[in-house]
Amino acid sequence: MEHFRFKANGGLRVNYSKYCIQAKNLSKSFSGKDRKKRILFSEFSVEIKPGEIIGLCGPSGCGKTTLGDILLGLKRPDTGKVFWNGNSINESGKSSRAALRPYFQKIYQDPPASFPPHQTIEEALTDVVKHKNSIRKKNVIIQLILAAIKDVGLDKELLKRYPGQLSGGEIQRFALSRVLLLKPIFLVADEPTSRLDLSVQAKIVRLLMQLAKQRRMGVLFISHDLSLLSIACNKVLSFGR
Amino acid sequence: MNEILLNINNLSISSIPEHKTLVKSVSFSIRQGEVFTLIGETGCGKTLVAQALTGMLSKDLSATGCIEFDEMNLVGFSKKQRQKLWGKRMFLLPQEPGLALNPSMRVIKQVAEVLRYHRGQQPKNALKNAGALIFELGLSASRDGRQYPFRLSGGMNQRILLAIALAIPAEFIVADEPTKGLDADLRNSAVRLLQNLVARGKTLLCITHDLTVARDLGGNIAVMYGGYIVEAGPAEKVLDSPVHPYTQGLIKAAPENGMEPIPDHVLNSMKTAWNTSDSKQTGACA
Repeated sequence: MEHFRFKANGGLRVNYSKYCIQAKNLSKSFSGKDRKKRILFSEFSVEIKPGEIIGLCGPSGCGKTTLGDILLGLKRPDTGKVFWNGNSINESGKSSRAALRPYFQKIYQDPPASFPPHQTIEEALTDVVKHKNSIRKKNVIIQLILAAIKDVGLDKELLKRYPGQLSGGEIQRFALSRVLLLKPIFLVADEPTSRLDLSVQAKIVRLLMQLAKQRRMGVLFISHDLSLLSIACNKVLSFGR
Repeated sequence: MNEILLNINNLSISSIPEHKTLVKSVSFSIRQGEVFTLIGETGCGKTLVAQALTGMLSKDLSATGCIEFDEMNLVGFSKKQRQKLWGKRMFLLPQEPGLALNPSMRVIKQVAEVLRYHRGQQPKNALKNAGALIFELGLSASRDGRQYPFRLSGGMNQRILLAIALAIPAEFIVADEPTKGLDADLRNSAVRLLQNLVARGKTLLCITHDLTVARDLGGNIAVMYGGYIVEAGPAEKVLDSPVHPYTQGLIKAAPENGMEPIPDHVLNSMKTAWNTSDSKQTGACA
């Protein structure tokens, strides 16, 4: 069961014997207005196996989110390389990177900003399912969505609402279920429980741990809470300033 | 004992299109210069309570009951009357810094603007004092202050909002999750700042999920679940010897206490108990 065939994107093969993500010698620095260089990290390497949850903690503004963005190819590192499932994303052609793109996902730190304000949650989730699986049947789509939101403990009545009409905790869980609908092989969870009460947080983190195991999904779990990370993760990396 | 500044009595908030009551007869009061912390289930209506008292409820929600702020009942207030209170008497530290800050203005200017228009400072002085406030919060005025909000991290934007809360002359501050997205050190310094606000005579209503913050702020605490306040009292007493099963479960669900979520049957049994008492009440009214 080492290979898995996906329907979409012309039969993408994911090789589960490889690391789902590898980063080698990454460096990133910012130059501020005063021309002083601020080094976020240098010569940083990390490897994440399928099903593994790696925690990342560190003080606010130390570059945790930036590292996640680099791993996902959303930002460019100054030096170093990122490999998705064994392929370097900087070198491989655009087409192969585009094929892998939907399987490398992120839960944004600011969930209310990641939903379009003039679209109901149901429409937003429907778009994701349609786009990924090219499913057109309405009842099939609804079934998939209902299953996904049930996992995160949300009520189906909330689907008819607009993002502005939901609480911070509800929208954060919708963001999580939207990402899980895509069945990613690597997920950057950037403070996925910052707006949740402790009991719901415990539920969601346990769900994430279970899904990582079941689906063999690699996770980079970014949080400030070291005691949370030490329960949820196989390994915890700590960033200094 | 100080005078009571805010007295909320039997506040209910219901959604008009769905005919559903979201916040169910919540009552509490805060004395001048005290801290009151609301904790509880996500989506149980904590933010709605804050919005009701600042007058920012969305149009399809209606509030009934009594919100007495300095002997004025805010429930009947028009939008104009409420807006007169904003910034001068009360201030809401919003939940989402990303949505609250002006995306097209450097952050230091946004702090300076408050000093200039609410405190009447000269533009030059306002900018200087804004820089000092930002520095107090561990940011550099020359480096971070010159940035636009999207260039700063979530925790940095949160601190800019705290700087605005410090700059504003309002005596009553509602802070909706002021420490979200901050690491332990910054969280402690934010808590110290909030304590500092209280020491300067301001009154604070704080909404949080972080039990450490609730404990450190002290004062009184109320635990909300399913739209009700299930337990209230002095912070230490509620957190050290909780009586209600929801509060007990919440404390056990903290990562340092083993991170076990509250079992569904416990939650369901609480909900069924309410449903029967709710229907009895409506029966009595009819």
